[in-house]
Parts: sequence; structure tokens; C-alpha cells
Amino acid sequence: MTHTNHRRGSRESLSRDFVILSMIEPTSGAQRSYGGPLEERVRRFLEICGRHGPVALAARARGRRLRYLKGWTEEMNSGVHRASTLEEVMRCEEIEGGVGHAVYTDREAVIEVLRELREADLGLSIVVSGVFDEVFKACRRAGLKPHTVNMSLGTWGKVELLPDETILELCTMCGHAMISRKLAETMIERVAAGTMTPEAAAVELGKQCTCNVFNTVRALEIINRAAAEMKRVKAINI
Amino acid sequence: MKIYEDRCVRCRNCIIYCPVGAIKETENSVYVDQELCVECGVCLRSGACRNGALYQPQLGWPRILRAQFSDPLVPHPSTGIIGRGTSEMKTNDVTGRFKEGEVGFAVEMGRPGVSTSFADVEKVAMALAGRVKFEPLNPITSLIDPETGKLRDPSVGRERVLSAIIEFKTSEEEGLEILRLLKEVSREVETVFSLCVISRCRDFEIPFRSRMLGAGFQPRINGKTNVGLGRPLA
Repeated sequence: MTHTNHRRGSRESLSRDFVILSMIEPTSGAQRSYGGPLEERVRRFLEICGRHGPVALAARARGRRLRYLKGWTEEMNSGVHRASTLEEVMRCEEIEGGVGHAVYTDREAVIEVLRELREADLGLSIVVSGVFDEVFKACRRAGLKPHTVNMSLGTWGKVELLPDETILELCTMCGHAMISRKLAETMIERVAAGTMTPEAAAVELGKQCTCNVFNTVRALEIINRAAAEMKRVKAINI
Repeated sequence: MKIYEDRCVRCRNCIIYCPVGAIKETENSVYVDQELCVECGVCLRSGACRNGALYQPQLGWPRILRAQFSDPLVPHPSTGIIGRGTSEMKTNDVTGRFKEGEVGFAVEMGRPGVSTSFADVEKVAMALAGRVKFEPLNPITSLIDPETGKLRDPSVGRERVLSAIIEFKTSEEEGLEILRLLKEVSREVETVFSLCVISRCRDFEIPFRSRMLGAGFQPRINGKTNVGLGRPLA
């Protein structure tokens, strides 16, 4: 699972994109039982993450996924995709397994989360995805040392099969590739045509990412930029 | 995925949701191209069809592999976990799977969003066989002969998936050679792959990053960092 690696974009844009993941090694009984019931420790992880203004927060509950995503309201629900409130995720009583996700745009929030996680000593493995310089600075300030990194060497092979960079910036925010290039293109077209708000377009993309690691705040910026460019080109061609 | 013809009203709402462009239309119908469809379930989950025309038929061997590798909500039987790979470096603080002086690789075939055939996966696995230690818990490893990289069941080669991750590790010394080898084989595949390189940190340094830069390989500025909070520590 490398689903939060390979996110694309400029340094400026990626510097406002952090994903924090909690996980336990499935084969490690010692990590599962470290410091008390796993469910309580994951709930504590979610509670800490939830207090620092995440763009997204996700938990696995029995038979379902609880998903808070900034901008996603109940009337936007479709198919199997259902919005949760931040409080619902933070106070979930049916936690299953050791996995939780939170997405942030602000490094200061990440520092606070890491600091509290260090103090809480939950025993969960914690992975932070983002620009390495930024994440390492956050580690220093939270009193942590990076243990292991997973670096991206980008995309190799028939790269001519890839869509343009703007579409990739949106689509790679779901590492399982649940967001189609056509959906991203259509959302930009609808925003440019004024038939959809950029907020609704960002949520429609984010809903497809079942792990809930999509950053709707960053997507909004990308969609607005692309839609403005589309309108500019259209105006020139008229 | 398939479409009940009698329920489909040809609204075309589902077409934009397919990550691999497998939902197609003719003058009189909308259909799922069974060669291209990777059984990821995105179209069905999206709720784009309000008439219940999309349906997931029962999948047999080897087509079932499409769902197991493409749909992140389907657990893989060889690992028992949801997703296409393993816990790799995410729990390295408690497993010690990647030690100092070792480098982990994840070659994610078909990513981002292009998809891959298992024939291409086999091509890369064969190039690596004998040089690396394939991760035993990885779903691809269960499909190949680790000595040769060849698919155990040749019929699997025709299947397509949204992505498949070849995971392995080697020494730092051998790591740069592996990167050169991957560069060569990348010219022979009909798809793309995204490449991950895993390395232990020494304080705030990443020793293998410097070696890669020295050899002309440029890692991206962003990636994943295990911050060492897992307990008990390996």
C-alpha cells in the first residue's frame, strides 16, 4: 500500500498537503496489545487528529467507513458514499483495526498532532506524507526523529499515456486511482461553464477516494486555477 | 462490471466515473468493454446510475484477480488485508523489515490510472528475478515463481488490473544497479509504473537519497515518513 505516495504538484501546493496515517502491523500481537485495547488507542488517535482542524478524517468502523471531508454535506451523498461529521468520526464506538487517516493543509497543525501523539504513547505506527523538508521540520519541533522514508521516483514507462499535469495533481490525491481523468476534466469544465461550484466539484472528486485521503482544500485551488485557464483560452478563441 | 441493457436509459452519467475508460457507447447502447474493465467497482459505488443498470457479476478465476488488485475494498486472499500491497515501511518501526544498509522497492505497475496487464507485470518481475528478494507477503509474489519471475499460471497474463505492486528489497550497494535495470525494462512495457524507494533514516539524513542523486536519479520532494512512534520498537 503506497496510496499517499506519488502525489503531484508544485512545491508550493504540496507544502499545504499532509496526510497522517495510523496503522499496526497485522502480524504483531505485541503492537496490537501495547498499552491497552487497540480500539481505544485508535479512538484517541482520531480525537487528537480531529481537534486540529483536519481537511479529512477517516475511521474504519464495523462494516463501514466513517468519512469526514471538508465541504461534504449530506445532500451531496451519492451511491455508497456517505458523509460523516467530524464529531461522528472522533467519537466512533465501533472502531475496527488500527487504521485511521487525517489530512491537513497546515504544518503547525501537523506539529501539534505529532506532539500530542508522542505524549500519548499509543504504540501505533504513524506515517506522515508530505514534502520531506516540511515533515522533517515538523518532526524536529514535535521531538521526533524520522525512522524510515518511502521516496517517490515518479512515473516510468509509457508516460505519454498519462493525462496532463493538472489532471494528475487532482487524480493522484487518490493513490488507488479511484478518480478517473474524465471525472476530473468534467468537474473543471462544469466549474468553468458555471454549472457547478468549485466546492461541489472538489467534493465529487474526493468522494471517490474511499480511503478519504483526498485534500478538498488543495483540490479547490487546482480546480479554480484550471477553470480560470479554460475560460481564458475560450475567450481568446472566440 | 456489466450493464443490464433493459434498464439502461443511455444517460451516459456513468461514463465519466470509469478510471480506465472501459464504459463505451454506440449509437444505441452503453456497454462495458470487458477487456478494459478492471472490476474496480468505482462506477457502481458512485451512484451515477439511478436505474440499477450497472451490476457486478460473479467473477471466476482468473478474472477475479481484477477485483482483488483493483478494488481497494476487496481484501486480497494471499495477504488478508485490504489493498494491493503490504504494510511495507508503514510499520517498519515495529517490524524492522528494512534495516540500515537495505533498500526497499515498490514498483507499482499501471499507476497512476493507466492500468496494466499481468503480462507487463511478468516482464518486470522476470527482469528482477535472481537479483532481488521478492516480498513473500506481497500478492504478486504469490502469482510468480520467485526464481524466474514467470507467472505460475500463464492464463493470468491476459488479465488487466488498475495497479499491481512488485515489492522487494536489496542492499544499498545493489540498489543503484536495480534502478538502472528498471530504467531499461521501463522501455519494454506497454504501461507506466510509479516507483517507490524505501530507506532507513540516520537521524535526519537519508543516506540512500544522496547515493541516488549522485547516480543521476532524482527522487521527488514529497513522500512518506514513518516517524518512529510504533511500539514495541524493533
